[in-house]
Amino acid sequence: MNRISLHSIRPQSGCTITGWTYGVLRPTITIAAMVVAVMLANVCEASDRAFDTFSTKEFRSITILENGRQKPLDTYARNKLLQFSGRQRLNRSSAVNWLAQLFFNPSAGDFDKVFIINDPDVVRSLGVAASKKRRYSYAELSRAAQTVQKYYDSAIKTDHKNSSGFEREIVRIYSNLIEYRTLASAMSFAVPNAEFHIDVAGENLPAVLTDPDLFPSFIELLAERSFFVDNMTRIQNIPADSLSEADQAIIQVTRRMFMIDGTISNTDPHIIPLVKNGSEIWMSPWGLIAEQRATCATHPSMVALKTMREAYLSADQSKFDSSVDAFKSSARVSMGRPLSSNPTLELIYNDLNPFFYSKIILGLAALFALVALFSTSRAVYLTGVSGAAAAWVICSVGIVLRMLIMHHPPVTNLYETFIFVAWSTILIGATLEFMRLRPVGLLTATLTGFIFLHVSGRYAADGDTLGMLAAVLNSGFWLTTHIITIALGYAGCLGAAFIGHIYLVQRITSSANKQLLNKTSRSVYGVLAFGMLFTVIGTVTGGMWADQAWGRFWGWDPKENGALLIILWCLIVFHFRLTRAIADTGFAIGAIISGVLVMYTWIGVNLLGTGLHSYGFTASGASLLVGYTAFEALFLSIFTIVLAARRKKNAKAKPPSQT
Amino acid sequence: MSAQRRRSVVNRARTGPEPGSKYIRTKGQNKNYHATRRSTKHDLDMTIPTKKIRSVIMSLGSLHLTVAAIMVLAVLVIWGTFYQVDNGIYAAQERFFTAWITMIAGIIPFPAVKTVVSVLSLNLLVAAFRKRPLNINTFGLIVIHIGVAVLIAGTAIASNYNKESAVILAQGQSASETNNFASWQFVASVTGRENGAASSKVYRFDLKKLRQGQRIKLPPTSIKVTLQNIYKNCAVKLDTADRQAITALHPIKLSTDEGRNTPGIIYSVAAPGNGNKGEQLNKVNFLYSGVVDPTPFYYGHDTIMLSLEPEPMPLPFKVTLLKFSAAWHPGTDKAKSFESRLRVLGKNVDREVVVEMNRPFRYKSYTFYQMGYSEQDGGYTTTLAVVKNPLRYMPYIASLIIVAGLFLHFIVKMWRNVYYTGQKGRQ
Repeated sequence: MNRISLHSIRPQSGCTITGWTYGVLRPTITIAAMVVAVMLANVCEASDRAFDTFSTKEFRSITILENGRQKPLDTYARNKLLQFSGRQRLNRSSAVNWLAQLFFNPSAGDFDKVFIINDPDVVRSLGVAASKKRRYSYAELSRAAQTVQKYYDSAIKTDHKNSSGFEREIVRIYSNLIEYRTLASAMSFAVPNAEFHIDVAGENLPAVLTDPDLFPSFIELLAERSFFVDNMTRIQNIPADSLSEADQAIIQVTRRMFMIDGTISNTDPHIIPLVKNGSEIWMSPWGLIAEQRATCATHPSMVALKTMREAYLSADQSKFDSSVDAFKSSARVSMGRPLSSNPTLELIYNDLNPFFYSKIILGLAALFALVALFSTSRAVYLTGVSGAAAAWVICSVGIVLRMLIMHHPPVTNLYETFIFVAWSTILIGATLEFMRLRPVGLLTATLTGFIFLHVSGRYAADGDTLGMLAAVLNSGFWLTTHIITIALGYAGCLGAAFIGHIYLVQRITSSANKQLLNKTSRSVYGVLAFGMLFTVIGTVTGGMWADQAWGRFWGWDPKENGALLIILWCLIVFHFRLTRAIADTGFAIGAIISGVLVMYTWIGVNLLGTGLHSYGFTASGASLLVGYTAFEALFLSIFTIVLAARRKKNAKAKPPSQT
Repeated sequence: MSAQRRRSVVNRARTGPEPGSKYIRTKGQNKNYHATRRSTKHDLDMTIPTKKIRSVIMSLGSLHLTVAAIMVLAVLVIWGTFYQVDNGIYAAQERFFTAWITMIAGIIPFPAVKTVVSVLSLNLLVAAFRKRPLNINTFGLIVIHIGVAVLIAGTAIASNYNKESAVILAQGQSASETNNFASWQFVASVTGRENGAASSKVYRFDLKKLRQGQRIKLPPTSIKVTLQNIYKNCAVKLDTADRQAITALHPIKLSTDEGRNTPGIIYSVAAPGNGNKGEQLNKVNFLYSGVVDPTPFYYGHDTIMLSLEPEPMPLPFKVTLLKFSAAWHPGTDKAKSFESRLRVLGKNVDREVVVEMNRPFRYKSYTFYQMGYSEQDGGYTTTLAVVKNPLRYMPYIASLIIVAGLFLHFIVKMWRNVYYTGQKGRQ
C-alpha cells in the first residue's frame, strides 16, 4: 500500500461483503461501544459517588427554585460550585456532597479550596499566600475579609463599563463569599447555640433552655415563643433591681432572639414551596421563619430539615434518607399538587455530562485524525471517524435531553449556541468526508467541535445554562427557525474559516499538489456558501421575528448589523472571486476573515451593551475575542511572510527567460 | 463565427468560467475575444463618443463597482454600529443609515447608506441589461438579484409610507390617536378676526424643520412668534418660589433613545405697535415638551395658545385598555409574559383583542405591539407601539425570493460538485 500523506484519498469502502463489514459494521460497532462505554462510566461513577462517604442520592433530587426555575439540588450544587471554584467537583467529591456538608456541617469545609481567584494581583493585594491551583479556602479569605470589604467598597463606586479587571475580580470574590456564607447559614436555625442556654435554676424554665447536655437552637426557642412573650410581659412590670437571675437570663436570650430576628430574610436556598393568595412562592428555611414565626417550628419541612441535619452529623443514612423523603412529601403537600419539574431527566443529564465527554472524545479523535494524516493505518483513520461519530451522538443526546428538560428549542442562550455550532461543525465535517473531501472533513469535524465545546465551558461557569426565557424570546416557532438557522450560518462560516487555515498550510507544504489544493479550495468555497446561505436565512427569519415582536423588519440594531456584515463580507469574497481579483488563496483568507467577523457578531456585539438584543448582553468573552483576532492576525502574517519568501526563492531559482 | 457562438464567447469572457468548471480562459483566447469584439460590424458603426458613453454606462454595471459599493456599505455598517453605542440608534440612523452623505471629522463628505444603495441599484439595473446566458447554472443567481432589486425598491417605497408611533393607556382609558414621541411639533391654536368674524385655526410645525431666529406669522391674528432657541433635548430650571414657572431652559446631551428626548423652545411673541419690531408682548418665553398645558397669549381680539406636542397619528377606530396582566418567573423580577386586553371599536370593527409579546394585533395597515408597561398607584399602564405600513409584506416577499434563489444556486452547485467529484473518483 502506498504511504498515505496529507493529500491522500482514503480507500473507499469496499463493495464486497468483507469490505462492507470492515467499512461500515466495524465503525458502527466502535461508535456504539464508545457511546455505551461513556454512559456506563458515568452510571458507575454516579453509583460509586453515592457510596464513597455518605449517600446523597435522595438528597440531590430535592427540588429547589433558582432564577425562576425549579431544578434538582444536584444542578444547584454543580452551578454553585462552578461559580465559586470553576469546577463541578471538589477534592474528588461530588458537588452535592459539598453542598450537603455546607448546609449541615459548614465548619468542616472551611479549609476546602473552594474559591478561585484568577487575578494574581488580587491575591497579592489580599495578602493571601499564592496557590498554584489559584484556589483558596474560606478560612484563608475570611482572614482577609476586611481588605476584601475595603476594595469592594471602592470597586462598586466605579461604573461596571469602566471598571478594571482587578475591580471586577474583587466584586466577584466578595459576592461569592457573601453567597457562600448565606448557604453556610441556611440550616443554622437548627444549630444548637450556647448563647441560648440558660444556666440558672428556675422553676418554670422549659427543659430545652436549661439542658446542660444540649444547647437549644433558634427554632427550638421559637417553639417556646409563648413562654418568652408571657415572661417578658411579666418582667416589664418588675423594677430592674428586683429582677431574678432567671429573669435576667430570659431578657438576654430574648434580646439575642430579637437581634437574629432583625436579620432574617428570604435569601437562598429557596427549597420550601408555599401557596399564598393563590400564587406559588418559594421560601428558604429562614424565609419561612420570617413568614410563619409562630408555627414554623412545627412545619413539616422545617422538622424534616432539622432531622436531616441531625442524621447527617450522626452519619445515620436511613434516618437521613427518610427525612429527605419526608421533606419531599411535605413540599408536595404544601403545594397541593405535584411540583412542575421532574428531576429525573435532569439528574440523568447531569450524570451523563454529555458535552464534557463529547469534548474529550473529540479531542482524542482529533489526535487520531492528525496521526492518520501521516499514517497508512486504516484502523487509526477509522478510530478517528468513529470517535467523531460517537461524540456527535453523545452531543445530540445532550441537546435532546436539554430540550426535553426545558420544553424549548435547542438554542436559547449563548452557551447553547456554542454547543449547537459544535454539533453543526461535526456534521459539516462528516458531510465533507461523505463527499470524499478527505482529510479535511475529519479534521474539521473533530477540531472545530472540540474547540467550540471547550469554549462553551467558559459560558457554563456564568451560572445555570438551563435558564428561563425572557418574555421577548417566548416564541417557539421563531426561536427555533431564527436561532437555529443563524447558528448554522455561523457554523458554516467558522467551518470555512477552519478549512481556510488547512488550505493555507497546504499552500505552503504541498504547493506542488494541485489536485489536493483544488479539493481543499472547493471545500472552503462550498462550506462558506453554506454559511452564507444560512446566515441569510437566519437574518431574514430574524427580520420577520423582529417585525412580529418590535414592529419593524430591520432596525439597524448591532446584532442585525453584525449578521448583515457577515453577509456583506461573504458577498465581497464571492464577487471578488468572480471578478478574478482573488484566487483560491485570497478566497481562503477571505473565509478566515469571515470567521473573525462571525466571532465579533456572535460575542463582540454582546459586549457593546446596546440595542434591543439585551437578553444576550454579557461582559465575558472579550479576552476570547482579542485572543482569536490576535491568533488570526499572527497566522495570516506568518503565512504571508512564508509565501513571499518562497516566491522570492522560486523566482531566484527560475532561470531568466530568453527574450 | 456565428452570432450565437460570438455571444457565448462574449458572455463567458464577461462572467468568467464557473469555479470548478473545466473551462480555463487562456491569454490566447483573450486576444481572440478582443479581436472578435473589434471586428463586429456593430462596433465599427459606432462613433468614438458613442463608444465612450457605452463604455461608461457598461462600467456602471461592472462587478468591480458592485464589490466597491458593498465594501463601502460594510464600512458604514461597522461605523454606524460603533457610533450607536454612545449616540443611540436614532442618531446612528440619521447620520449613516437613512442619510445620503455623512461627514468624516465634520468636514470630509463620505457617501452614506442611501447613496451606496442607490449606486448598487444602478449597478444592478445596468447589469440587468447585459445579455446573460439563462441556464440552470445562472438561474439561481438571477433569482437572487431579482430579490435584491425587489428588496431595495420595496424598502425605498415602504419607507415613505411607514409611520411609527406609540400609545400609553391606563386601565379603562381609550384613545383614537397615537403619538410619535420621536417627532415633536410646535403647535399654535389661534383665534382672531377675519373679515369681521371670529375665526380659529390650528398650525402645526415640524420641530425638525424650524430654524433658530425664524419668525412665524399666525393669521388671522396679527401676532408673530420669533423662535430664539430650539433644543432637541433640554432640561428646565424652575422658579424657586413658583415651582410651576419655568425660568430657563438649557440643552442637554441627546438621549440614545430618541423617544426619550424632551425638546424645548425659547421664543418671544410680538404684536403690531410702535417701532419696526412691534410691541413685545413678552420678551422671553419657554415652551417645554414636558409641560402638557399650552401657554396662552391675548392681544385685543386675538388669542394664541402655544405648545409642544408629539406628532399625532389618527386611528380609524378607538382602542380601550380593558385589562393589563403580567406574569413573572417565580422568585424573580424577570417577566414571563405580559399582555394587554383591548377593545377595538370602529366603523366596521367591534371586538376584543389580546396583544402580547410576539403576538401583535393587526387591522388593515395598522399593527399594535406590546412594548412595555409601568406600575402607577397600584394599577398598570401599558405602552403599545403602533405601526402603520401598507407595504409591510415587501421585505418578506423580497427575502423569500433571495432565499429561494440562494437555495437553488446552492443545490445546483452542490450537485455539480458531487457529480464532478464522482467523475474524478471514477477516473
